[in-house]
Amino acid sequence: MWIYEKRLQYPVCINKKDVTMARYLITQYGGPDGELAASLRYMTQRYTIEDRSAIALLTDIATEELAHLEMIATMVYKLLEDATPKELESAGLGTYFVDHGRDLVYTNGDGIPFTSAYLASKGDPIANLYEDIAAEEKARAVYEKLILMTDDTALQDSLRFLREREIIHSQRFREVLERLKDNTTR
Amino acid sequence: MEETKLRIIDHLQKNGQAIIDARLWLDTHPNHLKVLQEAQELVRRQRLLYRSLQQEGFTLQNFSDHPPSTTSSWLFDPWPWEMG
Repeated sequence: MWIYEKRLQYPVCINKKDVTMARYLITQYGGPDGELAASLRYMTQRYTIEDRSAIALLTDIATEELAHLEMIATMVYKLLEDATPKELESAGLGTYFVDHGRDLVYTNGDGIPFTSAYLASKGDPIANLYEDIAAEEKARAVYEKLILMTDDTALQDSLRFLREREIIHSQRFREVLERLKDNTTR
Repeated sequence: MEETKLRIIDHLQKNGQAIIDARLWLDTHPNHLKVLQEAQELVRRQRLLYRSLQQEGFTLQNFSDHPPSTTSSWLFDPWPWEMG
């Protein structure tokens, strides 16, 4: 069961019209290291991992990632809101506009649709936790690139928040992983 | 949206963030009593903020705002992507 709160986890302000930035950002919506992949990855790992800390952490981080997904959606929506078809076309979003209008689609920046293959689930606690830590670090790296791709300081501020969250998540996953490794004879 | 509601939502965001951080920390450090006590205080404060927002007529949660605001605030107050 989930309950929705009608607010963002952290404010999203856009000061500057920038259609190309929307195209870059959409990879964090439906790309391999995006927030949808993160949330669904953790959500589905909960059932078999057994360790009590790991189950709680996967549940709580999966939930937080949905709030991040909503922040990314808000950024993309606001950046596309007033763009003309011509502006979308010149940012490389011509085919996107023809197929989807301004609807938000779970794709990466090149329009490749989301796939559950991104979740890379292995049915093994150690392998899955390494995957989770790598996923957080890859998302952090993407946010660092995204921050470089805009000079809108308000947008950079929201992206910096998301980058910092990846670091916190990575740290918590590491704590669980290290404990599980200590308890496992290898 | 009115200034008062926006200010309460801003407080909710900041206090809510501290709750998330405490929750994740306690997931991996369940015996850390100091953080547990801090979390309880943060949650108490969050409940007060929920109540003030409700008194302003803003419906924050889809299923847990009791009683739901008698106005149609859920439908007509702005959604997150309509703000800012």
